[in-house]
Amino acid sequence: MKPRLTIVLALIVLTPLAITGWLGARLVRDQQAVVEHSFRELMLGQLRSVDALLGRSLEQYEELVRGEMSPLTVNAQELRRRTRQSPYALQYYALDVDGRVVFPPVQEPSALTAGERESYERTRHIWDGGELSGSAGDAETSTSGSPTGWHAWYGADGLRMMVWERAEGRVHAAEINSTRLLAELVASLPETDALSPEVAQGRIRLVDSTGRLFYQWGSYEPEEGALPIAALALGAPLGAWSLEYFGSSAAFGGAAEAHLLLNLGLGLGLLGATVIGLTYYFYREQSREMREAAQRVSFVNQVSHELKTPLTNIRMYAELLEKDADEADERLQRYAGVIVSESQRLSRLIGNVLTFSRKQRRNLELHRTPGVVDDVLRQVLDHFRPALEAKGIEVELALDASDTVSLDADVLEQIVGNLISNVEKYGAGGKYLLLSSRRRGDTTEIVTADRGPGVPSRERSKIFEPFYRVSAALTEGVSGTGIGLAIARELARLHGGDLTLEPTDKGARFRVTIHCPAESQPG
Amino acid sequence: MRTMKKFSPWPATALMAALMIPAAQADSVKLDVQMSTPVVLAGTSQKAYMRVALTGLESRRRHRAPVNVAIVLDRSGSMGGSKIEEAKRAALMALRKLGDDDIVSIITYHSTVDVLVPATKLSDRGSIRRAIQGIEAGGRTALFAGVSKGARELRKFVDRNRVNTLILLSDGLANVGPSSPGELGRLGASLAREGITVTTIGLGLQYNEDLMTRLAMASDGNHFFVEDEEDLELAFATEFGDALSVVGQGFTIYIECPPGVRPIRMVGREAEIAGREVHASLNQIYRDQTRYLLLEVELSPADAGKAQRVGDVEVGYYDLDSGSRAKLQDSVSVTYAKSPAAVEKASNREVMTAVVSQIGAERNEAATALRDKGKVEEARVAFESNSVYLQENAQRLDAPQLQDDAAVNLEASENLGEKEWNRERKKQVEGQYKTRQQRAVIPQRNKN
Repeated sequence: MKPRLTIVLALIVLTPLAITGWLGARLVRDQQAVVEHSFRELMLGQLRSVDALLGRSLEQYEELVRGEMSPLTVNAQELRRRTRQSPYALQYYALDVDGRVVFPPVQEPSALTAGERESYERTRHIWDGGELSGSAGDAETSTSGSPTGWHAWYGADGLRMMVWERAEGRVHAAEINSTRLLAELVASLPETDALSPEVAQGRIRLVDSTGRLFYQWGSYEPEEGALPIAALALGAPLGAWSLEYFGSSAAFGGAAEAHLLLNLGLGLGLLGATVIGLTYYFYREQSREMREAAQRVSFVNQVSHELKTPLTNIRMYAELLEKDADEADERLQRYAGVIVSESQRLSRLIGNVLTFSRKQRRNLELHRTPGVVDDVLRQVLDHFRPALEAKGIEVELALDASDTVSLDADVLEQIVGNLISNVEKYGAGGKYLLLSSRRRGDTTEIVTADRGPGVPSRERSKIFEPFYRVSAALTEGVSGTGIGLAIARELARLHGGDLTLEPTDKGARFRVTIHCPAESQPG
Repeated sequence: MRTMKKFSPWPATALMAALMIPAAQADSVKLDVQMSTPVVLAGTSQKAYMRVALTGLESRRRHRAPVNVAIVLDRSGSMGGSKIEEAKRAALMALRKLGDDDIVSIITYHSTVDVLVPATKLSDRGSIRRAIQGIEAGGRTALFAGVSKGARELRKFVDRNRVNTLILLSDGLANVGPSSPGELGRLGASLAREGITVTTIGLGLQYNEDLMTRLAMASDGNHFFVEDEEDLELAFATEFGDALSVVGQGFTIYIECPPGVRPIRMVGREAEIAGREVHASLNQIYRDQTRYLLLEVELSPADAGKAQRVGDVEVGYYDLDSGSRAKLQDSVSVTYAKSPAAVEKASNREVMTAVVSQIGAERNEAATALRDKGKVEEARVAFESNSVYLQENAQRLDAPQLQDDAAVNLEASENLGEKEWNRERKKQVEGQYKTRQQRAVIPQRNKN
């Protein structure tokens, strides 16, 4: 196979594959982005539902504490009993209408229990700052209609919280056992083994305000320092806490992506196979036809060879007949002339076929001998004269190359013969043929011109292309323009010159140049 | 001696209390209040100790109270190998001790928490056994979450007529979630108020003994230091032995002192002291065992021959025998005398031994704190002098257990080096804890 054909075939196969592959990859990437986005949204939704879960736990805890607080009282003995028995609160408080703490009895320090003293120290900034008496804190309205809320702050060992309620101008409060509250929050959150499979593939973390891991669930183990796919900041009283979702790319839409990739791979494979199959078929068809064409050419070539010898004999004897025939027998002479002319025509045709075939085999050679260009031109014109006269074509001669030069007369004859033959065939309507020659240094220039229809401008560049189409019309093509002009140009170039179509007003005008240095006169 | 089965309305109780002095006794628990020095020196203000002892008696019922136990196992990476295998073996052994009416839940924690067996009656032992056998070690130590989840499982069936116990096993430092002894202590205190006891088992030499003891102490549970995993089974057996022999729980102890007596502190135990009123609590009393509280009081000066009531003690609890709330009452007095010899002669050797033992534990803690601060030499002196103190009192009071305490302190003074201290500290803290639990197998002569 020729390297160029290989490249073309490879391009035919690879280009659609590459384009499809690229588009497919883009599709996968877009799809992945879409999946990632919707997955992130999904996970954010999941985190929101966890947030809601935490919110409910906090509410429940508040209800438990407020259940213990009710009925609201300032009775020290009762508040001590509640404090002693409460699993949820560390210390209960009661304030008077002026915002002063009346229980525990802080005005009388010696009456305080150790627990009360410690709790008061922890919460003193709240009482002294009047933080609950004012409008501060995130107040809501309780079911009983009185304002209530949480107050959270950070103590020496972590989060501390207070639940408060204001009724009849007095604040009642509970410093809650925040560790117990946190334990309740943990208890309300899912465990790893109680999860639906899609959540179990990830990991949700509850991170406290210092960024420390507080609780986590899900079987996915994120790498150290990995960033969460989705994160949600929590509201008061767990301000600055956050929920984070971690997962591998395999976890979200991993299956979908794999599916897509598989489909894409299959599609590409199928497309590739189809393109390769088609290309192979195309290549086989072409090489078969080329083989067949080559066989036909070779057949025509062989036949031509076989025809050449009998044709030469026919021509020779016809010429003898023409010469020897009785001058008076005009009819016989005319018949002989037709035979000669037709056999010459056939010789040219065969010559063209053989030249073409030699050119195919890169076998064209020049056989230079001393000769005169004008003599060759006259001889060719003589061969055509009967045909030209029959069509009423007037010939104008302007020959000016009578020096003896080194040339291949057969080649020149073939070139000029093809050109005149074209005039006879296509330019006969102009009834005119110009044949001129002149020498310029080592180059001889020959011009043929007619006044026929000429060559349409869009075909000017194509008329020299060899009629190389593989088709049954080959034999017709030999007598057509294609092969004649192509061979003529090829031969002109072989002879160190060229054949060009000259621009002209009317008809076709060809210019032949051949390299033929002057031959030194033999001794 | 009379029996009071049920708590009666106040007026009747007051009358009965007057009739029943000095002691009242319910079915399964006996209350006994005594002074370290029933005779005190006249004419001077002085300190004295009141011992409130509660003794679990043989149950009349055939059946013990059902237990509701959550076993919370550490399966972090450090538990790998024989540790986790021994823990599984110990848990399986514990299961065999339980009956079909008992409730068990199994929780494992590492980086996350798994509720392996949600709280369930022990009727399907096969699946529980398989769940335990499937435990594998790996990951971090989410101890707080493990306890939180265990408590939730317990709470599903929590009942004053069940023994509600969470058993926590850990061999490492909690590194996910709250992990300070203070925080865990508050959680334990909260659980205790719901009738849940937390027992902690520290395995190996890497766990945080302060965290583990604070958690157990706050909920009145046990604490075990198990250096070698092969001894886990013993710890579990001891714990289950306790859980299965509880006769009463949810004890509230209220002591009211008359004018002239000022309560100072409860030795080795937290209590609420407001003026002359003292509130304390105890979670459980076991069969054939005594637990006691020591109240340090200051007595005002009085003339010789005068009798002074030191306190009226009222104890309320859930009697697992009768399945209802019961109440015990007692009170104690001192007499003032002129001669120190009379004081000495009357002094209660048993109560004094308890006092010395508690003071020894306090001094042991102080010495430990010195060592924690890196003051090795001062700690050595403190341990040694504590040893001498205990030794002297052991002889004076003829109390062999003080002799043992003295030996433990002496041993501590010899193991203060970097290499030995970690292990020694765990041993000392466990010892302090045992002392501060204030429990003892019943001395026979107290049974009257």
